[in-house]
Amino acid sequence: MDAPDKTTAAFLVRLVDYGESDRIVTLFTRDYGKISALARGARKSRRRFGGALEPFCLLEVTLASHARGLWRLGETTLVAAYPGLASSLARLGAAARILELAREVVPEHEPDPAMFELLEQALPALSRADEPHVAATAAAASLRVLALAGFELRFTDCSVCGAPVPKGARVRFDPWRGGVVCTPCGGGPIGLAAAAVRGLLALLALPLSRVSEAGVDAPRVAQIEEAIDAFVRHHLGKPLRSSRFRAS
Amino acid sequence: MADPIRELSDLLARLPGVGRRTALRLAFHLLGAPEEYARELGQAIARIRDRVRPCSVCRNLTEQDPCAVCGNPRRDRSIICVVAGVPDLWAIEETGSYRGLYHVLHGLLAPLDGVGPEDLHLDALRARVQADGTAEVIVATRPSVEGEATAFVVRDILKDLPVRVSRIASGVPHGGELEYADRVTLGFALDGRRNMP
Repeated sequence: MDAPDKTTAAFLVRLVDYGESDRIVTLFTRDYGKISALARGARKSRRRFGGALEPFCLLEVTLASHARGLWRLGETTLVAAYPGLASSLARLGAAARILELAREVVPEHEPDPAMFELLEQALPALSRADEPHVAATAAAASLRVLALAGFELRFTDCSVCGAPVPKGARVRFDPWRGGVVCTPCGGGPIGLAAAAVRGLLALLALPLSRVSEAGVDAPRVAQIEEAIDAFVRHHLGKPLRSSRFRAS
Repeated sequence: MADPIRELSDLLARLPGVGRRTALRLAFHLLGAPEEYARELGQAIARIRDRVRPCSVCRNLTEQDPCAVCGNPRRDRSIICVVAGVPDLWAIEETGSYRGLYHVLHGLLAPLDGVGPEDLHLDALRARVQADGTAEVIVATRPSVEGEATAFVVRDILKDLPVRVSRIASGVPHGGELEYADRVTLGFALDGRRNMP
């Protein structure tokens, strides 16, 4: 007997055409983690899923088990859209970086409610962020995504010897080591001003919706983003496709 | 299986929306069809690659340059409708209620796929509007995050020019049932309500 259908909240993170009329969607779901599902007829008719197969939206999806281990996507409903994302390339690009990063670092079929909750907070926070605070919000969200995926970057002590970073000192970040590395241990290719480290810690101490209160200025945020990008490039072996939107 | 049939079937199976079984069925259908039809089909396929090019004005796909729309002196040259693709242009043409010109982007912003503004021929749109003194640009991209974002980018690249930029309406489809509309669409429909004349 077929297992009963399951309903869960989800973010769509990839859409690929499949066969004559179908699509395979990659969803990050609240209850089943990152999964792939077959959306039958999604290419032939937009009525089939009511135009709900869109990234950057919170969806409610119904899933049925499939013979080959692939889920079959059933009824899909748009639960929340974040209109602020569409009205700014900076906000949309930031949201894309967060979704793509989560898509790349999260393994399949492992429920991760904390990661889902983070995405649920990050998209509305980015949607409402004033332009000057978009990059800081995205950086804070990226660091949280990495931490939840098991890649907590170290900024307060040396990633090699564990020695605490002297307060007020400029530090060197090494993407290969996943954190700052003190001079005796060889340092790293990316310099971070003491203010950038302080800013980064302030960003992480605040909820994503209040990141603007950290008051981290744009040059410091840019340093933090450079360190995150370098780590992601090293870890994934490629840059995020959406990373080009930062420069736009 | 005879090789020419397999060859045709394999080629047809590479078309979007055509699987192997359909491709084989089509190949046998062509084998049984009047010879003239098969010959015309082959020639039409060859012609489409040899002759169809983007219109140098609007980037519509066309055999003649400029395309039939841009070359038609009876079209209203003060309005440009921006669409994501040629099928959208055809859909608007079929309404019979639009008499202006077009600009085809051949895509939408898609940051998750790495498609950015520089991939959408927006410089050409700006140059047209500037050179022709266009009065209105209608952005007719679909109502999704990517379609809306594209519309905002179009607005931004034209913002210093004396042109009105408008957006097609979105909401509940004609003949649709409110009870079956998703809450986001219904919300947009309510937000975009207008006074009745």
